[in-house]
Parts: sequence; C-alpha cells; structure tokens
Amino acid sequence: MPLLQIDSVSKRYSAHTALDQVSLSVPENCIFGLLGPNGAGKTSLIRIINQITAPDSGTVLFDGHPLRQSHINEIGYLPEERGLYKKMEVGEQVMYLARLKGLDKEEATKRIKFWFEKFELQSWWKKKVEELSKGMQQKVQFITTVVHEPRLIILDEPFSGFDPLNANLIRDEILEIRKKGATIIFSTHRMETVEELCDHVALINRAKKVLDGEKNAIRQQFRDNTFELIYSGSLPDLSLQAEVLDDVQEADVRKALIRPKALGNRRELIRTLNDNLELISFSEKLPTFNDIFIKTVKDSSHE
Amino acid sequence: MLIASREYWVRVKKKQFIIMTLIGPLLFSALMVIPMLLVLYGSDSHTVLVSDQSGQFSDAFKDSKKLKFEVRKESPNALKSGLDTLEDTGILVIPAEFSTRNPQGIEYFGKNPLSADQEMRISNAISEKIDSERLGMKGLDKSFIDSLNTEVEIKTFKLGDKGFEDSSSGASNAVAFGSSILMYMFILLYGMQVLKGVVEEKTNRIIEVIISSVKPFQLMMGKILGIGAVSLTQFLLWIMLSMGIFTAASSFIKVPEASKEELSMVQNMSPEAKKAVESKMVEQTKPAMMKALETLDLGKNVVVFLIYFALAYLFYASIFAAIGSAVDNETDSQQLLFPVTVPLLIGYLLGIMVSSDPGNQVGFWASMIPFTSPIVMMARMPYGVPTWELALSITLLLGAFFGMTWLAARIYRVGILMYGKKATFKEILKWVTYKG
Repeated sequence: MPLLQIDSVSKRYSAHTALDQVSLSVPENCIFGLLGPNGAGKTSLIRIINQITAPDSGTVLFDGHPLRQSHINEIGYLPEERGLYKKMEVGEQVMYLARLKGLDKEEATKRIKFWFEKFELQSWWKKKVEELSKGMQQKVQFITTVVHEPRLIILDEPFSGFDPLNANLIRDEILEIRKKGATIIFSTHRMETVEELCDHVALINRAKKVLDGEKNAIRQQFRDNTFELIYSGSLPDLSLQAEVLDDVQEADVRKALIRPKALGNRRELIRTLNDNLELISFSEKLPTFNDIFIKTVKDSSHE
Repeated sequence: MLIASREYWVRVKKKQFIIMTLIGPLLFSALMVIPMLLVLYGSDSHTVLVSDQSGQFSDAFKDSKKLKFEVRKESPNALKSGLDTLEDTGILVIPAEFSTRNPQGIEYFGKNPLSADQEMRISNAISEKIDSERLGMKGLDKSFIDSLNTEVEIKTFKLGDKGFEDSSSGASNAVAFGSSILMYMFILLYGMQVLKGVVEEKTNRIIEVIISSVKPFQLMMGKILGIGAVSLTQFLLWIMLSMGIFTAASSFIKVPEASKEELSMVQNMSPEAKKAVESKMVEQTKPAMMKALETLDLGKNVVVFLIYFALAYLFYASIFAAIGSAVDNETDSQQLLFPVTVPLLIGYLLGIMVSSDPGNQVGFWASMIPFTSPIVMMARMPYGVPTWELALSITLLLGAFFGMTWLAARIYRVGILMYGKKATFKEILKWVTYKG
C-alpha cells in the first residue's frame, strides 16, 4: 500500500489554478522526486500534504486514511524558504519546534543532542540563530525537519546553500533515513540529484501531472536509440547504417554519438566499427533527466 | 500552550522589556509626584508693581500666595528703568484717564509675559473693582456689594449602592482621564507587538515550518495570549512599582510641608494640645489628591480596568494579527492599520470628552460599541456606571471578540502564506471566503 495516495486533487486561487486533477501515489520507503518548473504547483501540493491548505476537491490518503490533524506529527517538512527565529537560541529553538511536533521534553533533548553531535553543532547550542553561518542554519533547519522521526519527510531544495562537503553530509543522512524506513519526497530543480537519489519521479507542469513513474522506467521510456562511441582512429563512412549526430576529439580519444538506422543491425554496426578503428567503448546513451525535464515541459506547454 | 509560553518568555527575557518595566513606573510616578511637588514648592511668588495714575485702584488688588502687589508712587518710566535689577517682577500701569466709563489702556511690562493664570487674576481684580464702583454709583452700599461675591463650594455626592456617597469630581475626572489614556496606550502598545510578531514570523519564513506543525489558528491565539500575558505581567509590575515609588515619594514630601511656623507653634504648647494639633496636621498635610482618591472605589475600578483591558486587548490583537498577516513588512502595515487606529483614536477623544461630561448620550453609546467601549467605559467608570450597562457592554465586547477572532483567523490563515503582493481591503475580504 502506498504511504501517500493523492487522488484527483484540485486547488484554485481566485486568479489561477494551482493544481488540476493531480493524482499521485508515493510508495512507502522510497525517495520520490517531485519535479516541475517554477510556479507549476509543487508548493501548493506540498502545502496540501502538510495540511497547511485544503484542496478544493479530491482526496489525500496518508497510510490509507484521509489526512487528519494527527498525521502532521508523522510528517517533516523542510520548506524551500528557510526560516528560523533569529533572536532565539539554537538549542531552545530546535526544542520548541520538536515539541510542537509532539515530542516530550526529555525525548526531544536526547534526540537533539544526538543530532547536534552528528552535525558537530554542540558548541552552538546557546548561540543565537543570527550568529550562525548560513550553512549552519541550514543544518539546524534540517534537524528540525527530522528530529521527530517522521514517516514522511518532504524536502524542498534541501541542498541549496550547502557547500559540497555539507551537501554530501545531508545526502548521506537522507539515505540513512530512508534505510530506517522513512519515505522522502524530494522537490528540486537539480536533475543530477534526481538521477542520483530518486527511485520515483513525478513531473508537474501548469498545474497538471505530465509524467509519473519509476525512475529507470521513465528513462527507458525516453530512450531515443542513441549510442555513445569512444574510440581512437577515424570514423568510417556509416551513412548506410547509422546517422552520426556528433563526433569530437576529447583529450586523446574521440567521442561520437550515433543513431543506428535499423534496430536489428547493431551487431553489424559494431563489426564495421571494429574493422575500421580501435573501439574503446560502445554504449547506449540514456537521456539525462535534464533532457527529459526540458522535453516534457516543452511538450506539455505547447499543448 | 507551548506557543503562548514561547511568546511569553522570549519577550519577558528581552532587555527592552526589563528596561521598560523599570522605567515605566518611574515615569508614571513622576507624572503623579511632579504636580504635587509643583503645588507644594510651587514657583516663587511674582511681584507686580502697580503704578496707578488714575488713583482709583490702590485698594483693588489683594495679595495671594503666588501674586503680590505693591502700589508705587513713582512714574512708570522710573519703575521700568529699575526693572532690570528685580527678579520675578512686573509693572502694571493704569493710565490717568482710566475710569469705570473708559476701562481701557492698562499696560503690563515685565521680563516675562504674564501667565494665563496671572493675567486672569489681575483682570478679575480690576473688573471686580469696576463692578463695585458702578454698582456704588447706582446707590448700592458697599457691604451689599461684597455680599454678592460669594464663593460657592460644591460638595458632590453620587448615588451609589449605599445611597449617596461622598465623591470628588476632580478626582473622578483625573482617574477617568488617566485610565482611559492607559487603556489606549496599552492596547496600542501590545497590539503593535502582536503585529510585529506576526510580520517577523512571516519575513523569517518560519511560518511555514510552524504551520506544518500546528493550525494557523492555534499559532495566532498562542501568540495573542502569550503577548497578553506579557502585558499583564508588565502591568502588574508597574502597578506594584508605581505604588511603591509613589508611597515612598509622598511620605518623603510630607515632612517639609508641616514645617516652620506651625512646628514652632507646636513646640510651645502643652502636651495634650500638641497631640491634637499634630493629628490635625497629619490630616491636613495628607495630600488633597489622596483624600479625593479615597472617595473613589479604586478596587472596583482596577478590576473593571483589568477585565476591559483583557477583552479589549484580545479584540484588537486579533485585528492586529490579521493585518500583520496581510503585509510583507512593517512599513506596509501603516495603510492597513488605519481601521484600527481610527476607532481607537475616536475612543480616546470620546474618552477625554466623557471624562469631563460623563452623563452624556454619546458617552453611553460609545461605551456600548465594542470598538470604543473599553476606552470610553474607563472614562465613565469613576463616576459610577449602572451594573446592567457594565454587563451589557462587557457582553457585547466579548461577543465582538469572538466574532473578530473568527474573522481575523480566516484572514490570517491566508495572509501568512501570501508573499510579494500588497493586499488591498477588497482582497482581504475575499480571503475570508476561502475554504480552509
């Protein structure tokens, strides 16, 4: 059973439609990438899951039950626009937010100490938030999102503002949390993180869902029969067998993109190549999510 | 509850709060003590040299504590040239042609202009003299004329629960005025704090984190209650500190007042007489203000004040919260604030009016309408307000508070998530109809 089942949810504001009959299913214990250009309706959807706003129509099931107040404590949300009380002490602040999520004081203290040690923030407990560097504030905010061990974690651009070292730290934590059984919804514009982390991907454009599925299945779906060829020597005449899309010198090897004309004759093509040049690698080039994203958004916007 | 306690402690721990709490009572008691000091030690008496060319007014001026008259024979010019060397002295010149038929041409020369009070005393003295002159010309005799100038002192009683009670309209006025100003100040002060708090959360963007944990309504009420608790804390501390300082100050002032000649008189008396005089002196030296205050039911006033303050604060704070939610920063809030400040200001002005004319119809209605009732009712309280009016007004305010909180919560809920556009009243009204 999926952890989160969103069924034909619509949300309208006076001037525009934020969500139009969107249905999604987020399986338990996966990392779910929620993609879409700016203003597509991602934030509206996230707010509905968080019960910040209610949908105009449609239903949201959490663990098989319609959303209710008590579910809020099982969700952790890291909004894109980060915010903390600037004048409040760091430890006090995390404690306050943890207790708002229903933790009692003792349990909260224990867990916050654990996280502060993990992120090497112990000495900052008594400092005010405004004295912290941006990266540190981000860490604190991440802690507030996960400290109550929610079953569903919603991260909106979790890596913005982190240096590569800290981004890695956070990434490892996300994977660790998933290993413990939590489900993560990931909203981001960085396609390389989608490729690296997500199991599932859904794409929203102009209030509508335009793409949804398992990451590898989507990539298969977008294959365009392109192969990457790394070789040394020079490319023979392939005009009968394949279309050469690109052929460039890269360091001491050459790199070419070719598209075979018929699906069946791949073996023959390789033989021709082998006879004429020194083949270093020959592999299918799967589309990147960047390509998929741009293509899907463009296509759906033209409709 | 958690929210309220955070709002409370964050503010109470602030330096500003501690400083304000300490300085506030000093200011308040200064407001009370300084007039007393002025009355007791008052400014030095002012001497007026009267150069009466007409010769008719040499006996018209009577010395008072603050104003002494000396009739001089020298010419006005001679007096004027000597003015430089004299402190607190002025010259009043009554021209030779001045008469009851032609009462014009009086001039005053001094280093400083006459105060309104001094001018009134002098012109009263002259016109009194003219009046009696004119009446004398009509053949009325002097003793009869004097008998016309009766000083009437009115002792006021008000109809209270126990029949007619001693009351002092002066003290009533002061308390009425003071408590309505206090009400106005407190509502505005703490209402603004609520507004700032909401705007702060919004600009910090922490709002999204919080309302993914609690309902917006809970957050709003938590904030309002937390700040309300701060205000009550501050208020109670102020009362206690002010009382302390005021008592200390007034006991300190009493000593010099009962001094000098009276003390030397007491020295020469027999022990019994001494005792009697001393107790009489204590009674006399007790500041008139304190005596007047005793005629008022202060306890009741304070309780009613607290009830009204609590309700008025809740009522206005929810409006402030709604406004805070609709703007992006404090500067933008000015325009939306005016529906709050205008009724408050009207209430304040009516309060001033009512504190000098408590029986009036406008006062009655203004003390019923929730927007102005807290302030105006405070102005009416010291004069005695029938219990049913009080109950009705409080009920209306309570009802208005529930209504306003509901409305404010609906605006708040939408407003806190709106960024980047300036909300107009029309839009805000539309928010109310949005589905939660």
